[in-house]
Amino acid sequence: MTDGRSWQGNWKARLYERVRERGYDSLTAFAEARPAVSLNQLAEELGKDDIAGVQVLGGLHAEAEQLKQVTRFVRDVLVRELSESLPNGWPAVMDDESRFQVAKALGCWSADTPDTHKERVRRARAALRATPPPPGWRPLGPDDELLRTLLPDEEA
Amino acid sequence: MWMSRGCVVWLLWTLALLPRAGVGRYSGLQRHLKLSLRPGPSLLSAWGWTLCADWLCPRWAGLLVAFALLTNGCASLTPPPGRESNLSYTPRGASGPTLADGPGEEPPRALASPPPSQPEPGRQSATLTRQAVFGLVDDVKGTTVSVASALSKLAARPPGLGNRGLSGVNGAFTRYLDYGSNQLPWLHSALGSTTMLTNAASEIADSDMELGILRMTGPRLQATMFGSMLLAAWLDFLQLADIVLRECPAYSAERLFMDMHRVQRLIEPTLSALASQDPEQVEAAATELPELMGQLTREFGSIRDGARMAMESSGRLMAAAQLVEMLTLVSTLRMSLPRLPPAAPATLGVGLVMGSGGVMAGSQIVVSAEWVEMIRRLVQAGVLSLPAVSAAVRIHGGQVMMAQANGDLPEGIRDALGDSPEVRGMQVTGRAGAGMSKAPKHHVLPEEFRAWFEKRGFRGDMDIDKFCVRLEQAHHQAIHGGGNWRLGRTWPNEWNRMIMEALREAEVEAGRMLTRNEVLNIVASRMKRYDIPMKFIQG
Repeated sequence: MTDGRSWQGNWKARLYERVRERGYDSLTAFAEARPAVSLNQLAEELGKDDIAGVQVLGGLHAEAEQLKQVTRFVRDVLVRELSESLPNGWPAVMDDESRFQVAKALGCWSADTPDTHKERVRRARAALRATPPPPGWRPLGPDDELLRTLLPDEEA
Repeated sequence: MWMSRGCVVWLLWTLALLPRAGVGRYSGLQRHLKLSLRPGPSLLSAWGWTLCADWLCPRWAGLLVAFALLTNGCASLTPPPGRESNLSYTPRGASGPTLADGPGEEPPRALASPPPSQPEPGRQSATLTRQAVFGLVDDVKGTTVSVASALSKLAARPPGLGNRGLSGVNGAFTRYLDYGSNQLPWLHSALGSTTMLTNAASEIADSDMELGILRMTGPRLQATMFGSMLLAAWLDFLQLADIVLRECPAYSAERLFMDMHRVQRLIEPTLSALASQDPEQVEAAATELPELMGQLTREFGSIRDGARMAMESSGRLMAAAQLVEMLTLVSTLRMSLPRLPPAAPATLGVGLVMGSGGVMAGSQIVVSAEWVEMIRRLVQAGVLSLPAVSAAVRIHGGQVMMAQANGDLPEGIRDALGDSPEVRGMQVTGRAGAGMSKAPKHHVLPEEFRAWFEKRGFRGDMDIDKFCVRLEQAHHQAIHGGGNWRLGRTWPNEWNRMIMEALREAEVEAGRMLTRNEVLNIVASRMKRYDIPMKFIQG
């Protein structure tokens, strides 16, 4: 159960201390080593009771800005969202339940996207609706081919 | 002569009260007791009564055994000292002094395996908690239904000689009957919304959210649990008043009217607090209830003794003796008030202990192990509070007269009821402790979109005001952007904006309106992402 302890004390310092304890010098490196693992699970690994998923998200975003890899970060967020909602990949049959799971993953993706990328994500979602990915599609990282077509890097 | 007359009166009352007040009250016991005591048909058919043995709790079995003994002239009518009123209202499964539990039985053993507070998989824990809520609702419903039926029977009972009885005396006492029945609507409605919420919770896919919604039932459950207990106590007074009016003309109706007035004024503030269903008022009322029950027990005893003395001083010794028997029986059969305190200091040491069969006072089981298990689950899930539950156990155990300043139960019982550092922590952060009561309330489902949520089923007991959380300042700021990473942008209302975007964009994707459960599913995952505790309070 969540009990709000994540926000007590200096949580940024705590977050980075945990990352270093695990032998990584950045949150991005820690996350890269765990592709397609949900943000909540990453948070749990860093601190079961005192790190929140949104803190990991914020940290990854801040680092992506420094590295000028925000688009890649945005793709990574979708990968992690999809692995949580659709662990078996894109549904073959769109019944009510799987339609909801897709909607939840994509809706949350938009909500987690920084303002700078919201419009691009909206277009990417429209493209996904117009041409759904093949059943079973399960991107394993931000460099997934289909994802890069949907949301290509601009910074590079 | 005295004895035989007393026997007849006693037997008449035993039998007359069986269907009227007893059977319904203990219907909940049916499921929990495997007693198969079948009195001989001749014994009962002579009185024209057919009783199903399955409905008999050991208390009735005890009465019937006493009946059998009396008919053989083997038992004295006078109850042993200290026992005359030691039958108290007992929750499901618990019985009065059971046949097997005589003094000198082996001492209660410690519960073989005190239930440890091991974490369970969320889904299973939510299911068991839901079952426990339903179990407690059934329990309270059982009490409420039998109180309601006893009230209506009492009201319908025609006045006796001289127009005496609760329904007589020119309607002077009707107000007291009404005061009782006026409590039924709020009890019914609180039980109804608890059931509704529990059903709604069962449809939620996310187990943390399900527990969050089950916790919403807590204040209502506590209010009904203690409300029905207090109403049962009031019923006891009504039954007493009825008998005194009918059988004790020497005790004036005016005096009795004032007695009842006094008792009602004692009960009123607490019952109103419970009826408000406001979490903090309910909690305060619950923890003070043992003391109130103690006062009521003393009042009951003093009215009873007053009636007896009035009869004696009027010179009608024989009638007084009969009255004593009736009053004794009323106090024996009453369903709420615990026994009077032990007079001898030596017995003050008889405390409550956790035994194999449940919570025991001496050799008597006051609450069953099954009840304890149900309550433990609710305490651990944060549905019921430990102080309130402890108060209930003290009342059931008859320990209302002891000056226990902190109201603490022995450790063994507290452990069995689910006490643990986590549970205590839950109370501290959830209630007044740690300044949380001053922490601002926050709507998880943004208030400015009330209409949007109403359209998706957030109405009535599930409207958005029910989904508020208290957040400490630091947390609140973090969520609303104040403690954010310096991301080169400002999120003045980050949570609200984020949650509405997630929900609206999900609807765009789904191509339809989300259902209430789908909204809650998304909200639950977002709350976890932001580490917002799923402890909802009324906004």
